[in-house]
Amino acid sequence: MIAVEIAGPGFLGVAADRGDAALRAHVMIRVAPRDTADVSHRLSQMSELTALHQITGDYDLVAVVEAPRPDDLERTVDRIQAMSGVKQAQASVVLPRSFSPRFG
Amino acid sequence: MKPDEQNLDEADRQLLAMLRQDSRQPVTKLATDLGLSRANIYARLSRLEQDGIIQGYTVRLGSDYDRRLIRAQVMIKVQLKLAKATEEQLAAIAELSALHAISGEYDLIALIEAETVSELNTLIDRIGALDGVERTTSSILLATKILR
Repeated sequence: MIAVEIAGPGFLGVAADRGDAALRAHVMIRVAPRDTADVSHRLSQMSELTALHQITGDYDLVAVVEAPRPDDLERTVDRIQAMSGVKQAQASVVLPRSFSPRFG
Repeated sequence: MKPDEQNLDEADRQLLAMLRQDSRQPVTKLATDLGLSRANIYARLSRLEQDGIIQGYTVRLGSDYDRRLIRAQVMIKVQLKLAKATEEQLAAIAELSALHAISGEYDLIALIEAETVSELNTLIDRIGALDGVERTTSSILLATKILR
């Protein structure tokens, strides 16, 4: 049976939200408030970036990045961590799994 | 027109185009518009779904309603023994619009949506109350700056 889903504004990225398989990392980023715009701009210039959200809580931004291979993904996350204005970046790899027809 | 690689003929393509415009059209209307029987339409839909050409039928929210929805990401740590059952319970929550497994300190990340912060709070509590959920951490999405 085909699932019905609500198409919202999106979370991980256009292809990712469709269930497209690819190597992705979800990166929580802490910046100094005055650097938010600069860091956001620099992140937006990364071709690996598929989503960027401003969030509440201990971290300020959530970035989702995609790369073809694990070492590419690692390098991409390293680049974010090394970016000027980034105080801390905590990355998790998004694992390819689906839980139910709704998200499959 | 010959069937292409995926064996779609012209009627299939027209059917897809009509559904992309409005996926709620009754089969009767689709049949009339395409000059085919209802049985034929059902058969085509069934095949398109099985072949994965149609992956789902969605709702395009009106932008006013969409903008009013408050979204939050909830990172969830589950008890290993109860992982599968907990994932199923989470997937069954209607207000959950995404659920992904992740590496690291937390096991899952969910996206939840509600019209008020209070409802969001209730949802977060509901998630926390599940047997297999050890702990959660949530952040409201204040703004989506980029989505590609």
